[in-house]
Amino acid sequence: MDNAIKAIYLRVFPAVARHVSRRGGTFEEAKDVFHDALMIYYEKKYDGSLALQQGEGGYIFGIARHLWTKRYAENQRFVPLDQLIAGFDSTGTGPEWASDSFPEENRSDQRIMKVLQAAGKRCMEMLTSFYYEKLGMEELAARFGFSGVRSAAVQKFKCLQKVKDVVKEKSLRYEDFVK
Amino acid sequence: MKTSLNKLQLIEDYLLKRATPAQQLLWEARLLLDPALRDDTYWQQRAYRIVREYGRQQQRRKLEEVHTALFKDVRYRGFREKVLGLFKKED
Repeated sequence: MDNAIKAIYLRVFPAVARHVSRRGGTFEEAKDVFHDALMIYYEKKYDGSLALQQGEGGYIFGIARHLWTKRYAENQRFVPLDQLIAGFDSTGTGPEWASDSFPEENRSDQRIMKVLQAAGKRCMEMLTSFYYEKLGMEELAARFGFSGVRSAAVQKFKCLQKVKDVVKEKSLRYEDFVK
Repeated sequence: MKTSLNKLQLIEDYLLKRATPAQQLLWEARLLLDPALRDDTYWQQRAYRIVREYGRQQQRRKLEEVHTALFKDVRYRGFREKVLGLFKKED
């Protein structure tokens, strides 16, 4: 279990749960908004775009409260994470991730992810550490046991090429098939 | 191998906006003129999206793990009772 997440959970979840229960929400709803708030918090932290004015706990509580008001008051229980992040403030997740993708692409993405999970776990872990968690090259080299940043960088690109090849091969096959 | 790594790097710099504005512009001109490069760029962007989705799934899994532990493990009984108590209907 991740100890940093556990510490935040113990400290912040009771306040979120109290807020949601006082407004007629359920335990499951409190858990959902709390998890979404944590997802947003971590993505901002990884991006380096976190502007903490009131401490970590207050910040996460603030996002959860905002999400509760937005989603449950407006009756929008299932909103994609990108939209939630975009709604929370204007910094967003950056233009590099095309969010205006097509449904066929999303469906084949889900299939491809399963293939990659089975075929190349270490590559996927490495790529997410770099592109999602945004670790620096030195941290990446240390985490994955490379002798230096140079070999870590080469391996990272080899992994990226592998994912790119799988994505291309699988989507072409799948998207042809559904047409 | 070296050339293809270089190409990945160049496409990455463009997609992740790490190139200078002048280089970005130059790259956009190249994309207009070179359909193969356009294709290549498209697949790389899809690859990044898959990586992000994978990262998010892993992150959600970690949150679920913590949630399950805190609401099942006897060591956290006090915490669990405090939270669940908030949702008890009062008669």
